[in-house]
Amino acid sequence: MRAIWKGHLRFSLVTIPIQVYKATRAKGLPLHLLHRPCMSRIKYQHYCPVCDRPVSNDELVKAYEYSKGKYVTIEDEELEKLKISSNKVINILYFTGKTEVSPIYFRDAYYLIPQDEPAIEAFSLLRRLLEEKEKVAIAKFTMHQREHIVCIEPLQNILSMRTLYYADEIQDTADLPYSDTRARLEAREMELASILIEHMTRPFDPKEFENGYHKALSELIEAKIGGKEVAVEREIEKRKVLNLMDALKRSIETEKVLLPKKGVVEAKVTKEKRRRRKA
Amino acid sequence: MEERLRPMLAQTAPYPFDSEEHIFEIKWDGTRCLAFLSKKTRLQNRRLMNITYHYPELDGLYKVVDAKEAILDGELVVFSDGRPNFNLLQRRDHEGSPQKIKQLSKIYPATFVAFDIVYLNGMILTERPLLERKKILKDIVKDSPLILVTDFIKKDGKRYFSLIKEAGLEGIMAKEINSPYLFGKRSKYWLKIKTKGTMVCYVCGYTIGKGERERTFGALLLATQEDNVYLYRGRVGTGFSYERQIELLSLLRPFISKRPPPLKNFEPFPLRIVWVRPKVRVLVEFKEITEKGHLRAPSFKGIVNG
Repeated sequence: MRAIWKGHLRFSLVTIPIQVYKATRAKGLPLHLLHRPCMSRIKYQHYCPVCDRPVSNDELVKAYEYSKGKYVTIEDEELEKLKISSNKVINILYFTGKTEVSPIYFRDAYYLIPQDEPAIEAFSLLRRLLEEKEKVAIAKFTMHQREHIVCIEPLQNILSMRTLYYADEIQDTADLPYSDTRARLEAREMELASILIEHMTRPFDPKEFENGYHKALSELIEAKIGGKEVAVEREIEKRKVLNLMDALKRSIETEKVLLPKKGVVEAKVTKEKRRRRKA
Repeated sequence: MEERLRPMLAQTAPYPFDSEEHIFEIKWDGTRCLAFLSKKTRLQNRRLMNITYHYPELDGLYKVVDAKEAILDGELVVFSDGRPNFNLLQRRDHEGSPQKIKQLSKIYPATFVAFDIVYLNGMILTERPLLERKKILKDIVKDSPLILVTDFIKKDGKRYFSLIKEAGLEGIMAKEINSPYLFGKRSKYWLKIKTKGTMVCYVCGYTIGKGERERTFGALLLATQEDNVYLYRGRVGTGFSYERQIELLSLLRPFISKRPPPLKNFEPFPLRIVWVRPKVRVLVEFKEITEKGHLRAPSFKGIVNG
């Protein structure tokens, strides 16, 4: 794993050098489009339907469509000005109870670990206290030129961090076409359902689920790549290398050069020579 | 087993030499790697990063070494056509997605090329002389496509170097026969002698590409600054991927110019050239420098920032 961000975690007067890792990884198998007759990767081209010609990047400008067909243009420099430079600090604003933040607000997950040996102590102290007091930290920080609100909580021997949605990004449940004022709950039904729930309760094991589509696609791809002969290939490669080392050694002993030739290079040289002759 | 070990490093020697006190071996072009073998395999690079999950095809490495516990030093290499292929290895190293890692591990499997052992079944071997460590290593490694133990020769460093150069390999290592293993030290006990040089050059133009290079460029024209002129260094047409070419083009486009910069030792050739002001710098590797200062067999290695 590679750290995606390095900086300091700060609360009040305490700063802890930390590094941030991504906690999740996308498991996509991106498929590309090829032009079937020649099997080359197709390229995307910007095209202007009014001028009826392809246009280059230099001719483009960004714009926001504020009403149908009406735009305000926004220059790159203007966007640049909106970006925030990072002060490399995750600033803890306050602490709150660990169940206070609804999972609805959770966005991306990250891991935090101390940057170096000296930071371990302060880091462990904070982690331990959060755990004991059953608190999480609400903090602010800038990554990739945008400001994020995050929730930091203990996870095993490290800290986890979730970026949070802003309040105005969450849809109001009052806007849903639903109301339960008419629901009447019978005691007998409650009891039955309660038994059922108890009966169906067990620890959560994420490992028992797998993405069937991903697995099937991945198997399909691997079958096509073949890979079965690779073990043999590597055996052949190894033999070639052993032969080369052997030949080098023998050349030293016999003063006679008998190196195995490198096929690819040979071919390239002759091709180049041919080209030169033509030119 | 102590896990935060940094491998011993080599100093650079400019020329090959003969010596009774040294052994000479191939400098493998790959990723330096300590292999921690017990009931599992753990691979760690020079920067102490655990890179095991990048190379699932080497998970069984611990099974092909006859030891309860061992730490081997070596180089992860992807071979193609009997030679290390550094570009392929880099693709392996940089890939982060588990699916791609799995696929690449099948198409471009890596081999662990072992050249030293520092620990075996409770014994720390670092104080033992190099040749003894080499023998122990050779004895415990079983025959398997996952691993090979690098050969070495005695005395004839110069001749070995010229053979290595002819074989198109990166260079040789010279190591003192009785030297200990020093973790994390760039020691003079180990010397590396490369067959190729590197140079940072300005790009002063490029040729129009043909075939699949039609949309990018054929080769870059290279030069280095000399007082108020530029010394032409030749052109480089290999070593870049399509993506790299696109990146280079976008860097070069703002500097396109009608005239070449003042160029010394430039010999015209019958290809169309787009001249650019010498602003973008690239790192190139080459076999030799000719009398006129041109690079022989240059290959693009990277863009120099700033």
